[in-house]
Amino acid sequence: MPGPDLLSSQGLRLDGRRPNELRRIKCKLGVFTQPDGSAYLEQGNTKVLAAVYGPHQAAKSKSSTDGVVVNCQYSTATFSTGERKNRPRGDRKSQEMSMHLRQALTAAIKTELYPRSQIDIYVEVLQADGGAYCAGVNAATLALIDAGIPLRAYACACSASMAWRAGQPEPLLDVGHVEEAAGGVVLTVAALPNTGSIALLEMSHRLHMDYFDVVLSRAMQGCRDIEIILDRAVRDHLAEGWTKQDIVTI
Amino acid sequence: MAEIYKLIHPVKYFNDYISRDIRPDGRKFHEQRNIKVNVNSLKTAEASAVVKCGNTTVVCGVQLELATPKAEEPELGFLVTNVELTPLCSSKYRPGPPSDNAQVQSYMLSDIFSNSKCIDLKDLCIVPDKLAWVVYCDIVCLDNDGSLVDACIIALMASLKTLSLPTVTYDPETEEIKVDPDVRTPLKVDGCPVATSFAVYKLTERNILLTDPSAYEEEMCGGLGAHFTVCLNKGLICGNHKFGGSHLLMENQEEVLKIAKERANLVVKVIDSCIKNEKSIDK
Repeated sequence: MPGPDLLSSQGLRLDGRRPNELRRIKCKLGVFTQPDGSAYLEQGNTKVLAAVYGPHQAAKSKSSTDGVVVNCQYSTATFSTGERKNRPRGDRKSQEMSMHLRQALTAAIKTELYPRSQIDIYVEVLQADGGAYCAGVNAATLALIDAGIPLRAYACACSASMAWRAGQPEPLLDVGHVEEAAGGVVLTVAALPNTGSIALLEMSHRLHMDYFDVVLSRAMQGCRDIEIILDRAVRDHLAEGWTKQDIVTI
Repeated sequence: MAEIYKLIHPVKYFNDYISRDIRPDGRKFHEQRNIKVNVNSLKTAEASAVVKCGNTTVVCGVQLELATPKAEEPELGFLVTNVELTPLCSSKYRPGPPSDNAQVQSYMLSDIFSNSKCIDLKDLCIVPDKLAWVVYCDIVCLDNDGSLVDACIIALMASLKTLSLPTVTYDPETEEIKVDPDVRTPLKVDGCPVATSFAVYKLTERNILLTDPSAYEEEMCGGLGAHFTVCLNKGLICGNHKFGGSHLLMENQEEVLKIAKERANLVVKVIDSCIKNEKSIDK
């Protein structure tokens, strides 16, 4: 069942990328002063901000003795899409995304360290060009690291789709808005690549069982690639931070 | 050490600085924070601007829609401004419906904007009684470190100055609407309102005005949003607000107006040079 034409005869995608190529990721930690941790991440034209407050004392109703309560809010700015959105948050889509975000990040945070506490994670999408959820998870991970919250591993999210080239299946990595809108299958994976475990998996449209493995492994490869990029960003940020601190003490 | 002192004796800590004629962040009483403006950074919006005043960061995105004008005012278009204080920008805001403070800020902004008369709503009308533009200006605060209204107005004006409207043809017989996004006319903007905030601090017998206060200074002077805001458009006052907090003295007025006037000139220069830079890069 060949889907819409997502690959050119040269094997390039609609935006000129190769099938296994990520969009360019630019990220920065500690962009704001008010929150305990913050990060900004650009994945192609998708621009996302994440802020972390906490851990702080949990509200009585939410408090749990087993571990920290992770509270997430995913919101998209009204001007993030071509057509104006009337409700930036609180609609079904953002509520679903908030839930998925919480599920993916709870898997990464060492929750047992902070009983009766709460961590608030706010993600704001400034410009959406496909894969806003993935960018949100990646930005939130960086913000958590900036806040100094212990993590089991980096939580990275990546999407993958499926295309045919000369009758052969060819999975596509990091789906953009145009490819999403073309109506192909989109598999979103949030994983802890370091441990090899998958925290969240979501697929839209339909895909033949035989091809699922290929698409999933391509998405996992994307997660591993993203982990390397995030790790480098964290190391660069820390190196910068240390030199600054040294100057202050001298 | 200073951090602990600040926590245990917050008022005394602040007084110590003020009585030595300096503010806790090292500024003089009438020194403003640096202003950074960047226009057209968002591609999904028709026009956009990111503004930083010190640590206060706001993003303004403008989007266009078509609508039928109101029956009472068939010749006017619409311009809707909205300020969003997301829980992202400060630990003081909780998720949920907009707080009272957010609503007041939003209302104050639209009030100042309509008073300044810098946009003639008649320009937004395409066919009287049939078709008009709705200009949605959504401002999202990313980091609230005081003087929010100042930053919001700069972001709003910078994006409106770069906004251009697509040409629309309307056929009255078939009621067919054709939008041509390639042929655009820039929106007419008359002047540029600029807001300047002051925090009033009462130091025994003396009233001290702090220009462009940070969130911490605002709180020391009577809570968020209790500062005094003056807005000028081409030398005319188009907004003057003071809600609660320490009292303001009559003799401060003159001083305030002088500073506001200087700042207005400065901000207009910043916005204009930013737009000019952006245009030269585009070419």
